[in-house]
Amino acid sequence: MAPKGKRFLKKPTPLHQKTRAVPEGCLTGNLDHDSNALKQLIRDAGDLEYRLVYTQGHRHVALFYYADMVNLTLVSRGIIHPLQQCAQELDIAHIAQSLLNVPAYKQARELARLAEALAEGSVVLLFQGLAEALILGVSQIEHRVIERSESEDVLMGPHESFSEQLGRNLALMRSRLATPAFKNKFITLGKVSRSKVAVMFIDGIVSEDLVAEVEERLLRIDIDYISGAGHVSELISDEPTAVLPLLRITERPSRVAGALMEGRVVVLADGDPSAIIIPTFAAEYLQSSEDYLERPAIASFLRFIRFGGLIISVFLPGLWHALVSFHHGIIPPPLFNSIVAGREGVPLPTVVEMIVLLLTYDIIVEASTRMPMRIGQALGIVGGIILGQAAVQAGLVSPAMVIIVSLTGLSTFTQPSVSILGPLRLLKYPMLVASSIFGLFGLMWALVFMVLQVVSMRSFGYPFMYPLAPFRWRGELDIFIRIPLFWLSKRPDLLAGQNQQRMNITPPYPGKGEQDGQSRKS
Amino acid sequence: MAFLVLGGFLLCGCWDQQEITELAAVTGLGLDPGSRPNTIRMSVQISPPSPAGAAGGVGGSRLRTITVEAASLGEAMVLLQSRTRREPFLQHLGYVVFGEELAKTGIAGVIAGLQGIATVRGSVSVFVAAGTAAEVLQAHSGIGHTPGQDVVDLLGNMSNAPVGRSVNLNDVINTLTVHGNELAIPILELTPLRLEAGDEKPEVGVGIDDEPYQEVLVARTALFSRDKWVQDLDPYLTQVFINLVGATKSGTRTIPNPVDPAGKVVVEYESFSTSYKATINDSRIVEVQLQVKIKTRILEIHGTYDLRTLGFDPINSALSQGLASHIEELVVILKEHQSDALGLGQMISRTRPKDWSKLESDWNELFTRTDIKVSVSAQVMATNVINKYFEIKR
Amino acid sequence: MDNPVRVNLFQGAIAVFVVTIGTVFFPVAGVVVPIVGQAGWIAVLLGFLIPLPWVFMAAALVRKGPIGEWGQSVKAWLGPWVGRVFLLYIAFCWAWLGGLLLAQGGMVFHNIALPATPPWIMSFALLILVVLADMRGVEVYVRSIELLVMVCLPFVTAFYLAILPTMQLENLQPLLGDGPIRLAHAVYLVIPWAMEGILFGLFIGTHIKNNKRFGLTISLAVFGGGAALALLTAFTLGVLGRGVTETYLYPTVELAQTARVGFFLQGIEIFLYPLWFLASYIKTGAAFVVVSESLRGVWAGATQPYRSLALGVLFFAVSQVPNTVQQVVASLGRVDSTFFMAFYVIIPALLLWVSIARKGDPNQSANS
Repeated sequence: MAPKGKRFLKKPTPLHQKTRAVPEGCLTGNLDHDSNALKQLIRDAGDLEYRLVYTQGHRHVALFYYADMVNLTLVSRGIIHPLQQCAQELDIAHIAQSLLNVPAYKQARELARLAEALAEGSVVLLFQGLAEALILGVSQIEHRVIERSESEDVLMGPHESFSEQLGRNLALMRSRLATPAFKNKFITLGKVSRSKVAVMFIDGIVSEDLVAEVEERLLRIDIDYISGAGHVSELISDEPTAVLPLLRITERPSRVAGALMEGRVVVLADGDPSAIIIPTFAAEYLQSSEDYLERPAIASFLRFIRFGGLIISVFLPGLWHALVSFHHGIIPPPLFNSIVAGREGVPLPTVVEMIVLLLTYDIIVEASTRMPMRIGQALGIVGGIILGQAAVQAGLVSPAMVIIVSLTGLSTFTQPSVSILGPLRLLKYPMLVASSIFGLFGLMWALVFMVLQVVSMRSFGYPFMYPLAPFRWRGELDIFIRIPLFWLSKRPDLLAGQNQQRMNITPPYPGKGEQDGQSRKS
Repeated sequence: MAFLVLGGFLLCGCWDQQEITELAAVTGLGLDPGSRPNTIRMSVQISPPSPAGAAGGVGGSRLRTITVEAASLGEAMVLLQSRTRREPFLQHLGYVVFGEELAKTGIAGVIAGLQGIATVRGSVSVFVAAGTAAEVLQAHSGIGHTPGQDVVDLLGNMSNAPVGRSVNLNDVINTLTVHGNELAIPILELTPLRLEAGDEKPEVGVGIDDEPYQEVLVARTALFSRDKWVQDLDPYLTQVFINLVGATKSGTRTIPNPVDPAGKVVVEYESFSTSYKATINDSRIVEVQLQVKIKTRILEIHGTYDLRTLGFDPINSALSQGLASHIEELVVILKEHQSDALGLGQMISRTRPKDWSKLESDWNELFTRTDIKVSVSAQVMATNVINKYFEIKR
Repeated sequence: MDNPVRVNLFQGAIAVFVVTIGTVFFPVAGVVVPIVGQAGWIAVLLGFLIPLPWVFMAAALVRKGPIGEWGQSVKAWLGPWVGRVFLLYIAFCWAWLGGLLLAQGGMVFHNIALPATPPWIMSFALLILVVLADMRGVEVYVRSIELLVMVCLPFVTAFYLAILPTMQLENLQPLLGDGPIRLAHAVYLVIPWAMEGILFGLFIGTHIKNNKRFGLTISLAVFGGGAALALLTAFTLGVLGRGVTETYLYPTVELAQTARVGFFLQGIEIFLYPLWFLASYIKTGAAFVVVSESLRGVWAGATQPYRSLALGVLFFAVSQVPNTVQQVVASLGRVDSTFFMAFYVIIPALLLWVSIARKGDPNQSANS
């Protein structure tokens, strides 16, 4: 995790130098003194274990470690037992290299460094008479196992998702991309949390400028604590205040692998199963990873549904209000009559009625997402069906409005990506407000305003609306319909400048030649 | 603060915002002359929504007709607003009916008025009423929505019911702004509706119980000379007329059985095509060759007719003669009233604009002197699946 | 990682195409049909066919200047001082046109859809978008067009599909009943519209890097716009007939009101209102961006956001001069037939001047 010293000039100073006035110093070789100094440095740590070992060479060795962060079997078998058997004079190099049975070790003499190493889950050995300590990497922290992805679940294809452990996540990626071209650079972020962040890319496909830019933006972060990828993504985003997520977050290794192979950079942070895909284009939020496992026609239909859902979830309330309260002439007479009949006696103005219902809907959704599965279902039924039914029967809202609001709400959840749901749920309100002032004019105003916003957005310098604007015919097509794979023989041209070909097609396409041959025979 | 402003905006409604419940959709509009000279009486048919709760269902809305009298259409519209709590709203207007008296004195003024109301669509269907328009609007329709709307729908999909040519407001304007074409508008008539014992009384359009229930029907066509109604065409000629102008290709004809004078032959058109060929001589007399080709299918034969021995020829010639005489009858009526409703003049203007410029100025007069030669060729194509029609042995 | 302006040829062509159609699609039939009747669509087609050589002249001009900035290019053609005068003239023409378009945008909505809303408020709302687009720069404006065209496509398709069944071909006869002189008159009225597209093409051309096939592509775009307008004129005539078409200022609105889509939508105005709004935004935006960039060329001190804000005030002031739609349309006609017509002389003259004056300086175009 080292290189490029220049950038590391900004490396944050360790915590203890700033936050606590501790005796600055190194080991002295006096074991009692050193042990006490270390204990003094790390005071108020109830889980710190301290153990003295007496060797056959009549020397004392002190072990420090945090219980539950180390592999105790390894500690007893690999460290304590060999030390007890040791009859020689203590020599750091000898002990580390030939005596102890541990995978990794380091030497250090600063107390502060030892404290840090302890915090990372290492075992620290202090030796009587030596002004140097050994840091042994035997950490073992209990983690969640690899599970199904909850937020991005799919019916087909790989189900596994990242877990909280960076190393395991990287191993998952390595197993998918078994090539030395798969690179990852480590950067440590957070002055207190000291989280490791991995910048992953595929050498030879990715644009080097992009990697450099990602690293630079990551290093520019000066913060005490990083909770995970979401945190990072906001800090490195081009427009942190934008409503739309300019960087996509995923927890599926398969999606990350796909992104890497298109020439993107992916950032993973320790302690968080989410990965940030850099750059992200808006259209990708419509694409589900299942699309490429499904037959093109079916996947295209599903994409069409999703696209329709997107439009409906943002525009339907505004459009409906514009029609019902402004442009009555557009509604056909039979529909007009039924709307009027339904609204007769409803006390609230249309727009207030709609806002109240939409807010109610969002409250129900918010209430049920935080609830466990079973309660959530019950909440949904009570909230959605019973409340709606009662409101209509009480004459508080019109039946048509309930339909519109529920359709809007349902459409929101057609989206395959969780991070787009929030923006969609929010955006319908400004649209509704605009249309309640100017009708269709207002709705179009809001649309153009939104278009102006999105086309000026950039995700790491790449236009967010690519391939819609700037326009790429093939990419555009791939948004609305899922085109067969052999048409997608090139990577997105904006991303992979030098290495565009991803698939070699030898016409006739697979299978085609055989069929022709058969038909000729018969 | 911003929320307050926004809330204010939302609650007070902005300029054009109008709750749908504040509107009364006008579905039909009737125009008659007023009681004083130079005034008009405007009747509007409004469908107020069903009462709150909408338990009664959506279809059963009661129609209401409001009548106002004013000097002009625009003024009548303003007056109308003072007569209803809900604002009358014209974008759903489906049809306009001109009363007989108004149509016979000229409709140009009200057409201009209708065009002036921006919310009235050019696709609004136009009818004339036998009697007053107000009566038609108040009448009951057989099944369905409103009396006029039923007729609009009927004429809209007229393939089986050749009873009239649907005319809309734009057609009227287009016809009146050129020479060489005249209006022919379907006539709405009222006919008493007989209720059998035990029938439910129809709810729609009935004001006072004593009034007779009446139903609207359309069968005849009003011929116009410019904006004045000059003559009626009876149902038979109407059918010939709308076939000639190509409004429909369908229709049936009944002719006497060429073999057995006591019987009849009924045929149905499979196609009906008309072609005109005009020649103009130096003294500006126009000669028009009107050629009609019909293809038919025999529906029924009454009386003796042996298809296998006689073939279709006798029927063909009888059909041609019958239709030709009907067309000639129509032409005579058209000429008599200076009403070029077939659009011969426009046909000449479209195909031979140079000749037309010489004729245009006094076409109405020239039309009466036009020599129209009618030739019909009829052809029976099929007899459904019947080989031999039954005969009663007497 | 940000380049100054990135516009590719395709984007440029789309922008020119849309700007050419612009807001003209509302009144087009109402302008030509009263003059030549059923030959209106031919007049429109001719009116966009005749100016095509000027597109190639514009393309030749573009090739002679540096790429990247409009003001720099003009100054490269004409020298700093004459260039500034030319820029000022262009800015003057487009500012006038743009102000009127702004007024038209609001007034048309006021007349056809929102009769109680004051038109100036709608013009102002439109202005906000246009100013915003200009502040973000030419690239964002062009990209917004690209995206909005995609929004338009379904509306246009639905619109045509809805009116197609009501079309009556015999309404298009007699084709040439009004004689060649009136046809020439109508063509004369149409030609300035094409010039708006050509000038915008000239402007956008100075931002396009790879402009090898620029002339051909832009002429296709301009003519494509003209063909679309001709098609619309033919449709209007076919559906409404001459008599009705003549009576309306904006026959396209009546066209939309006439067609019925059957059960679900009473009128297809629903497709027309968005189209009108988008067209107003795009065309006014084009005027605004051209004026703004011209002023930047004249005086480099005019920086954003002050330039856009000041121009916004100017546009709004111009838009408040006319009181009625008829006045707006008449003023637009006057601006078109004088200032924009003048470019039919100015562009060849400019090309001639540039070819002669810059002959000894072959490296000029290599500077980019």
